[in-house]
Amino acid sequence: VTQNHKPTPAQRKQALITGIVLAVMALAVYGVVVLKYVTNPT
Amino acid sequence: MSTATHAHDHHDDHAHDHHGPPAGFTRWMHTTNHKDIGTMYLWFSGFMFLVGGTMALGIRAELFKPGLQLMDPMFFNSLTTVHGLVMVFGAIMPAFVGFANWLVPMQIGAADMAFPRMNNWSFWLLIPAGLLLMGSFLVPGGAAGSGWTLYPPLIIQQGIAIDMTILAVHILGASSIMGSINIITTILNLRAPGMTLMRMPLFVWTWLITAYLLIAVMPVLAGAVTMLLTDRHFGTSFFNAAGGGDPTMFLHIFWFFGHPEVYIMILPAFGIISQIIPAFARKPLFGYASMVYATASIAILSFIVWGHHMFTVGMPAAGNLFFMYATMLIAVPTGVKIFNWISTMWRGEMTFETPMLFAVGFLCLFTIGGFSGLVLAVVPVDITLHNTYYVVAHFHYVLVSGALFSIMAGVYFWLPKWSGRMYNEGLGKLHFWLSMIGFNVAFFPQHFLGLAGMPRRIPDYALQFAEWNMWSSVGAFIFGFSQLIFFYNVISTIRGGQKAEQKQWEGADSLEWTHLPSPVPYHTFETAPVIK
Repeated sequence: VTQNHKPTPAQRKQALITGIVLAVMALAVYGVVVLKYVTNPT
Repeated sequence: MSTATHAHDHHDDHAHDHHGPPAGFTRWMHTTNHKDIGTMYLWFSGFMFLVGGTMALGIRAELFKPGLQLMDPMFFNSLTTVHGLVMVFGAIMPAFVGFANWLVPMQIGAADMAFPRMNNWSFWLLIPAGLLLMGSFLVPGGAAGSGWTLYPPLIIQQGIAIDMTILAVHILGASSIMGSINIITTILNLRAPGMTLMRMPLFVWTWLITAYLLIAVMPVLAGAVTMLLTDRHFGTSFFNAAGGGDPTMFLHIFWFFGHPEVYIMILPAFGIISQIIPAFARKPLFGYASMVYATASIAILSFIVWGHHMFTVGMPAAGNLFFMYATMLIAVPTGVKIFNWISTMWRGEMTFETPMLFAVGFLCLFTIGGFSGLVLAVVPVDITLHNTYYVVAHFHYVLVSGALFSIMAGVYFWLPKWSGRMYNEGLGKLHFWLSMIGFNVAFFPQHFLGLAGMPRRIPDYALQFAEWNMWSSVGAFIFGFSQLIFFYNVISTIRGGQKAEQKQWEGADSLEWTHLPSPVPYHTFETAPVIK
């Protein structure tokens, strides 16, 4: 079976950017939660 | 391993030319195909459902009559804890991710997920996490006994099983976050020409919103359990009152994750139901746009209601009132959804095959769960009912007859598309009715037990609770064993059911039914579908 339908280079690039932004968001939330309580435990 | 990497590079460079799936275990170990990974998620979920279900039957066997019958109280605590963790993180969530893997690319006209290798990794992370959770029963002191909420101070005091549980939760969280990144990226970037956001099937919409919820709250849980770990081993006192910490703070952080988590488990269920009801009513979904906005509203509101899980900790009255009214507000978008599903059925050419039976069962029983949630939202009522069996009844109506029934409905609905074979309708209906009866006999009496004051998470109870507990246990065993019919039906369908048609359900209109044969080929679309 020939698979002609695949993401275009532009789509791949956009997908990579989206993925990185989302990963940074997740890490930022983690960082904020931990740092908030590390700097002010109560 | 290097051979495998090379094989994948070759695979991608030549755009999946000339070959179907490799044979044997390597197909599953190395696969980057969204359908293979979806299948693995669903089987993993099914296995964990049996594991968690067995624990539930252990709990109900112990509670069949007053007194200690079968196990010591610590083991009972471990069963309730790991049952909750397994069902939430091992059964319900992976099942919906399995649906997302199978359906999102097909329903938006994409070739695969955006990050296929990360998709593989997301799945295989589940295995060590599951082993850690299960293995914690074997270490000295037994598995975590704190309840799935992992509240300190108990969680700080227990043995190595807690560390295993914390590591498992971290791994499961990482898996969920990677899965969510994949789903959002796929939906935002890889839709077929003409597939605008407001043309996407509701299932895709609900998963897009759910994935954002996951990315927002999973790291919060990760942060909370990291702090638990440092409290246990690195001398900090975030939650340890003896060191100046505050156990209540953990409750706030946990439930800031925990309440959106409830919607993470129910929004994809709404999506599945929103696909099934129009198909069997043979009418378009009533109020599509309002369904999208209602889903988004529920997700946003889910961030500001966490306090309703902890009305008894002594928050200021203004805080209690805020959380009470915010919680009640969620009934509005949820009501919109229920109204739209009923309106879709109104004057439809309805038939009641198994997926529709489960969908209607979902509608009736989830609404009961929603109403008992409203009851619990009222502060003075909640203070009375907190930690009673009323709460247990409420969340099982939401998560079993809500999330699980929708999973059953979805499997019956899409199994002909996935396997190319039609399941046994008679067995499906038998499964539905036994589940419906067993579920209600198991969980409806728990409302009465809770109203009468029976606390949750106890292996023994006062004599006045005996009769309804006996009924609840009988119902649980009916419900539990009826699930074997489901597994038999699925396996026998895959091994040799009757051939399914491309459009097995007359009213189904999403791309997987209109553009793809049954079973779906290994490489989903040869050319991008154009949606007009």
